[in-house]
Amino acid sequence: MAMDKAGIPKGLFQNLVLNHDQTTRLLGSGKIDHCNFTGSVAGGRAIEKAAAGTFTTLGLELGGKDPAYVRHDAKLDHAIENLVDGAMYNSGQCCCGIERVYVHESLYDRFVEGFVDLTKKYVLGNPLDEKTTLGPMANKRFADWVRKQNADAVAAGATAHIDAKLFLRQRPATAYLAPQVLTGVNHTMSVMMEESFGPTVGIMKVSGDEEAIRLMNDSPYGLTAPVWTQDMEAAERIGAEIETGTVFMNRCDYLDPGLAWTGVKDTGRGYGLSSLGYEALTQGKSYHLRSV
Amino acid sequence: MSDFISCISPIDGKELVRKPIASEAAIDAALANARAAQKAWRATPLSERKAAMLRFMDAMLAMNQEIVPELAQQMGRPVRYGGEFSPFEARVRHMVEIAEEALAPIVPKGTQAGFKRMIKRERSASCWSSPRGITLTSPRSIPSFRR
Repeated sequence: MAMDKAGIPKGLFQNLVLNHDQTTRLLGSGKIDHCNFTGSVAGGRAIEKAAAGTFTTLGLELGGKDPAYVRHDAKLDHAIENLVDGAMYNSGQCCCGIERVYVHESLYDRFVEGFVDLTKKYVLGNPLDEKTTLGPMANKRFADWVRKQNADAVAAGATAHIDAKLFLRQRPATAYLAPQVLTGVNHTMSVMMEESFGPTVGIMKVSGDEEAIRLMNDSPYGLTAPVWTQDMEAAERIGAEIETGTVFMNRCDYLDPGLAWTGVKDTGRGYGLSSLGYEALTQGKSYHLRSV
Repeated sequence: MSDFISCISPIDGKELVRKPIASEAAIDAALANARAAQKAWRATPLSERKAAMLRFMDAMLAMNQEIVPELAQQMGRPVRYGGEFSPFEARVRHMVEIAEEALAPIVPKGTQAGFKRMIKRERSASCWSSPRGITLTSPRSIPSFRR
């Protein structure tokens, strides 16, 4: 509709509702030159398989388990405020939402306390209500996934800091899920390794940069990684060691159109935004002309 | 395999809307339309394409009042947070702003007299048209606003 209003030629941008079979056939036909896909890793693999043999180029954004590192010299209140928002915004349903946090031992207790206190202030409710700051998840099955991750973590020894009953609108077997903050977590737990894409986050204590880097990299994903510190040199040095598409310092859950939006490992392939985004969508053609 | 896609509202768990899947004829027509439109777009000067993208952006921003409650109904996004139009606008403006430079031909060093050498972004375009021909894009978690 907006494209029509802008006077853009019909046919340039078309919306088709297709099921998986149709998409698979279309990609396998070779009639598509390029495919941009945002979805699950399994979806990305299916797309790649469907396009196999056609040389269709792919842009894939498949998943993340974005880690935050709160370093010993972080501005604590600033880190807490931004990381709670980073973890819970849109009920945790952001590609670059914060999914796990590693905090230096000197700040750990105060960080967890502040993080839990701020998280409790969310108002879970009907998203059409202006007072609601945390809506239901997009589908009941997504909420059930997060419930399972939380329950499994607790069964394996994690501590759940938030009593779900504080959130009156939460209901089991619905999309309305209360936020959760977990400690006593480790990387054998799904909640620290598999994408939650929901309002839950695990927080671990670390002794320094080396341990933080190792844990941040212990993941099949690499989309963004924020480092909370007042030392820009340290942020850049640490950033160089992190397997990720974007390194942040003192911010998170943000897309800057001037910078390349990209990921590594199972997070995907290709670039969006920035001049690199244009490279991803154009075909270079060389001209070598000689006067005689 | 289903012949429709259903959107269940997370507000109450009830079906909000149901869309039939496209017919084979509709898919073939879409491909043909895309190829034809691309030829026309390719011949359009960059300045006009940039202006068109900004008009598209304005048209989307004007639909804010409609779209925000739809996002709430379709995926549970609280209306108090709007429709992510600020980031959308920032991205469109930026990509339009850098289009000229990013899509300019690359001229290698060392070109001698009598020669003209360059790498052209053939069928250079804005971020919404695919100069590679036909692009298939899947909807994102917030449909159409995540580019």
